[in-house]
Amino acid sequence: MISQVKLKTQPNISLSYVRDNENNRFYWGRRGPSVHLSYTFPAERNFKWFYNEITVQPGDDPVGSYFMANGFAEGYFGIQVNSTSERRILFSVWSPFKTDNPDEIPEEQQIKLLKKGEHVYTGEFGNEGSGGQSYLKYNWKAGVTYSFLNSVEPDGMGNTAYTAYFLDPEVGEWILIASFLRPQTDTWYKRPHSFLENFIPTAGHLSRKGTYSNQWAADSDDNWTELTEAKFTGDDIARRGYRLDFAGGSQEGQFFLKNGGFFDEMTDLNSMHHRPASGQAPLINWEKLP
Amino acid sequence: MLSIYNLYFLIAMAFWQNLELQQNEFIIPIAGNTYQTPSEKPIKITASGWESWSETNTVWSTYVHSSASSQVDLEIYIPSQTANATISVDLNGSKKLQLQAGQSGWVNLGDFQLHHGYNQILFQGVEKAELISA
Repeated sequence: MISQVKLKTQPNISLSYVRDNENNRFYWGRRGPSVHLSYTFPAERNFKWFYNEITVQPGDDPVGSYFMANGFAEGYFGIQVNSTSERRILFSVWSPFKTDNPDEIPEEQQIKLLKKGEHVYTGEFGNEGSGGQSYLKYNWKAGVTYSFLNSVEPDGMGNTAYTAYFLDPEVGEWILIASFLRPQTDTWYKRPHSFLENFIPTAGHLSRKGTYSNQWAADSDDNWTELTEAKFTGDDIARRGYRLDFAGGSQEGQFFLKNGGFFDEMTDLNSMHHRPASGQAPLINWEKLP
Repeated sequence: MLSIYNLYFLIAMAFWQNLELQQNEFIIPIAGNTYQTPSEKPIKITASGWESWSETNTVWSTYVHSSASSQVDLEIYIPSQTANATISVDLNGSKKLQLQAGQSGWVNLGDFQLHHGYNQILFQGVEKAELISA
């Protein structure tokens, strides 16, 4: 019916919108800008564990939201709003073999499941890279602060194990999501980060926001280090200025990410942000982790 | 010999034409910038725009961010109108537009006001020939 709108403005006015469909940008643009926080690790130390907390306030959690808490160089771990009746805890590890089709991954580069929690689905994923995926259907609630703990540990034989745990304060015990072995990988925890994205193109006009708090990392001897610095970045749609409805940084002592909904208070990309240290390391009973 | 009035007229014309040349022109694709509400019965939005509408309570919102407030001249591109219809177009002020079956090309709706920050251009069907005869 209508395919284009032409606006003739006064001089020196610039307009921002999704301008072209190269690399499927109409799709990505309608999803809205994805935004990230990359936490600063102290240099020259090997970390095994990363701990983070997420709180999403009521109304900031439209369908299509993915509040990713514990990202690492080879995957991610967070919570999603999949429909009006279903929410999930998602933990995924990419294969070292780069493809969007899981069927193409050679046997020796496939992600192996080591263990998984009760009622957790595990399988393969594709489209944005391929690898091992696990999720637990779990109706997490807005307004509740959830804890995420995961580890990255080389096995000394050229593989690395990735394990994820989730804590619901109303349950009070850590639950295992899954543990995967990634072949041809020899690494400790690298690139700790969080992100916020919308994965439903028809919901990109809705705003979502999450707070990310109390980040800590621990080495293999369980020595905790608090992470209080983060760099705010965005995806291709944000970097091109096709969408400007993104924000992130520090607010009321916590980090936050916000996107979608066409709000006007944009945060500069690549800006550094700090939160005050709490000095209270997470209390983990390692022996009781499933 | 050129009279002083003719000179004023030529200067005014040159000034107006210069203003016209200085206007910025932006073409916003519907496909990457538009959302439908309510979204319960989604109508596919493609590079050619959205597919034929039938319900008058459906609104399509196209979003654009402006670096400053500005008066704008607004046109819409109709690839091919399938039925006589009336639509409303709202950009901080509403206008109605009658479209004829078989019509295509750019249609000018005149001046609107663009605010600094995000603006919402609303399109809504008012009536359509099939709806009237149904």
